[in-house]
Amino acid sequence: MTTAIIQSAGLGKHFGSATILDGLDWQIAPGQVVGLLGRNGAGKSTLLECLLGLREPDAGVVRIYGEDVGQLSDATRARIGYVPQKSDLFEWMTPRQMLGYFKAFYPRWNNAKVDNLLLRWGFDKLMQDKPISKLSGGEQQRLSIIRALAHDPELLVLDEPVSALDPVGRREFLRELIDGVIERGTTVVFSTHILSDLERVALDLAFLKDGKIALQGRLDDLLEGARRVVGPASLLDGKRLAGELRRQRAQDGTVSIVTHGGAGLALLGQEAGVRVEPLSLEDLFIEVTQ
Amino acid sequence: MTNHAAHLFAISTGSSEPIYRQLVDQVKRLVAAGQMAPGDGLPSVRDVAQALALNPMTVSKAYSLLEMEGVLARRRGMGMEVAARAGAAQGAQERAALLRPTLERAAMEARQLELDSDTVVSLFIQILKEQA
Amino acid sequence: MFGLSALGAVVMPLLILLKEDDLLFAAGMSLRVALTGVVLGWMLYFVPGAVKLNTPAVARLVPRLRRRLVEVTALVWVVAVAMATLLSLNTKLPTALVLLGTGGWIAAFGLGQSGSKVGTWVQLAFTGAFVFHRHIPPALFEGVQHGTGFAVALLLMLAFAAYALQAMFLNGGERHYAAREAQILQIERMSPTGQFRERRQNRFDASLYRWILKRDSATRDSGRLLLHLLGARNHWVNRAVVLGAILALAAGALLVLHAYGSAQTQQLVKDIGWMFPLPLLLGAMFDTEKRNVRLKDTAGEQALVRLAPRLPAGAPAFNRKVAVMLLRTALLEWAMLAGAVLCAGAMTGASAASLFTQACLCCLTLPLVGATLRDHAHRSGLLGWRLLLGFALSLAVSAGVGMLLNRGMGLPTAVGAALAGIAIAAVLVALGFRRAQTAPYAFPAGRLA
Repeated sequence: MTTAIIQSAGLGKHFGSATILDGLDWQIAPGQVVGLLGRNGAGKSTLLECLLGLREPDAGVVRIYGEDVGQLSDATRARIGYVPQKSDLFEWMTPRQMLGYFKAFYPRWNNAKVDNLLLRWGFDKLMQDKPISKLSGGEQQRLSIIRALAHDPELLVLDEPVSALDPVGRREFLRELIDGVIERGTTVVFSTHILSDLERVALDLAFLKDGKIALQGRLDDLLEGARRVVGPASLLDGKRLAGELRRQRAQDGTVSIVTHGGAGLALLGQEAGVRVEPLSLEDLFIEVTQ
Repeated sequence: MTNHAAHLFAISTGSSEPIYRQLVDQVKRLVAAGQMAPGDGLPSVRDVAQALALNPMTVSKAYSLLEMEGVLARRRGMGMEVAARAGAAQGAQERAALLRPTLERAAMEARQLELDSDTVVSLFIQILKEQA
Repeated sequence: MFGLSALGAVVMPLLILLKEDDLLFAAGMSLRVALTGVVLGWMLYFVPGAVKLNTPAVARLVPRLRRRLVEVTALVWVVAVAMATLLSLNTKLPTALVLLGTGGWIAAFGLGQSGSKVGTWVQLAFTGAFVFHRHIPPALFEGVQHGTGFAVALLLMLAFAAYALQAMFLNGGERHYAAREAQILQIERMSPTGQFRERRQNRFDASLYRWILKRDSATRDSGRLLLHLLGARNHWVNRAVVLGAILALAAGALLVLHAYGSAQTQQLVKDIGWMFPLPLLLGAMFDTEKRNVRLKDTAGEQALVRLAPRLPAGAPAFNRKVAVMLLRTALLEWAMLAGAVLCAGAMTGASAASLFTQACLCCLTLPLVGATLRDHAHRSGLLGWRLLLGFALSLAVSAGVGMLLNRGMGLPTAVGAALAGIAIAAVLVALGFRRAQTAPYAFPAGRLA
């Protein structure tokens, strides 16, 4: 088994009396493309920041490439690319200046890729000399992504990288992700609310709920296994289904169960009055995170 | 012996079917319908991934599954092609199997409407007659 | 604000009572202080809030709100002017001038508060007229106080007040949107932290910064690159340029004085000229706060830089590097300020002894440099009154030590105080470095406390 790139054991973080992360264990293997899902305020950003060592956790240990995140060596840091949620950073600099500034830090810098992306993503000469504060939200995000990709990272962490982009921008971003990043075997961890993008590109999912990874697995397996079983209470009250996620009772006496272990439900589905429905990713998200 | 382009395929997100399965079903339907003849080349994994903005592993998974089921065959060094025996001798058995998912859905609906089998079958036969 | 003015309203009349025993005068004085406090408080708190509230959308969609704000502002203005006039009836000041002066000035202040440049200029004009009133021909003053002159002046003031009101609370439309940015910027500057935020760059600053950034990016020196987190206008090169310009201007002014000024003025300048540049040193206090606010604002940028290679790994080493760089910048800027002060002193013809005293006085502000080092993880933002208090304390201690040494060893007070200042600064720096070793990473993604 290949060693995980990111390993977190017992990660805990609380703000005052609110517990954001609670004994969180997570492993991310090399080459994985993982989508991190969770409600607003569930702590996705906090989790990503703790994983990168940007926040001091209150408990637990995180290791990247075997090194403790509080003491990352230069070589490891040169392999990490990060796109934070806030995209208007270094707003007093122009795009060209900002990229030049970061170039001074990194040993490897792919000038050709940077120039190519700047051109393809609408940064003409004029815009390259405008201070970042004057750019629109979408342009700032695109620039942020370019900056993270510029040094050919092996681990890419993205925190809602496309929230301000229109569908064309998002498609372009996905294309670049597939072509320039995934093809090279980069490990990608990203959190987003745009499930359609996730379905296209992510192979693994992790749901953050109540400070823990409530559910994780391959996207295909989760989708194939996710089912909603609706039927009369008389039949379903006693039954315990494998991989059950949520059980709800409706006013008319029917019970609705959501499960992600939907393989053996064929028999159940044939009984009278019982419906077994497949779920989309959006439905699954709602069921898991509530 | 045409080489098909990537835009032959289409996928939709937000459905309950994983994307690789959508691709697999699409290829099977295209082959059964004769739009993809045996020996035709399929677009490379990379091309499909780029065209549909998908993870190449998903496309690769779909192709491997189709190869295992004998619908596709691996060309020497040049990607995938439609398997020789795939389209030609596709017996009624295999073709009927392709119809199964749709019929299963119809059967489920029939059960919800609480119709008995005879009514459903005679309705189906009537529709087939109308469409013939 | 109100607390302070209430305090003043009580203390001042007591003092006056003690001195002159005139109850009416004391009461009048108390009322005046109270009124000033109220007006200032209103202008500083209400007006910015009201202007912020009056967005283009609100102006058009909720006209009643705008009208209410306008009415309240106008009412307060009228009441303030009326009260000021009434209160000035018993004093030596000419009533008419008080009426016109307060009316115009309050209107201008309100206008300035809402981001209009016109307001700031008119305020400056009023202040200038007040300071240099001896140079304005008295005939003008007389004319304005009676008859048609007064009527014309009054109409002008009312017109200006009306214009100010209308400009403060714009009524939607293109102009409102265009003015909005300036309004928000100005209001932001009025707030305590806002004062230390980055101002917009002019072209000269922009090109200067471009050169600095290019040079630092080329050197790949991580320490210098770190400092760019402080923003564009806080680089020491900016400071050098500004000080150079000030000195050049001062030199020019002095040359003119030399050539055309009377002997008395020249002597006066020589005697007290050395005092004027000293307030420059208080700029060191401004610097410390400015750096803190910048470091608080650039939390996101700091995260990105934390993840970049070439910086020391591990919190203690990283914090040490940050401390060293900050200290170097602070010392450099202090040295430039001190140098400017001494230069100005030399230009006004101060003697060597006087220059030496000035240098010693400069050393008294060294502790401010030491205060730059902090535990950035746990606290940042303004030190505010703590800085003031600390500085006052260090001044007192230095002065005390200086006097002691004077009495004990015959050392000049200034030298003793300077030595004390250096010692205090050294202690602060040592403490700061010790804290840097134990504190968590200087730039956490979220402040820890």
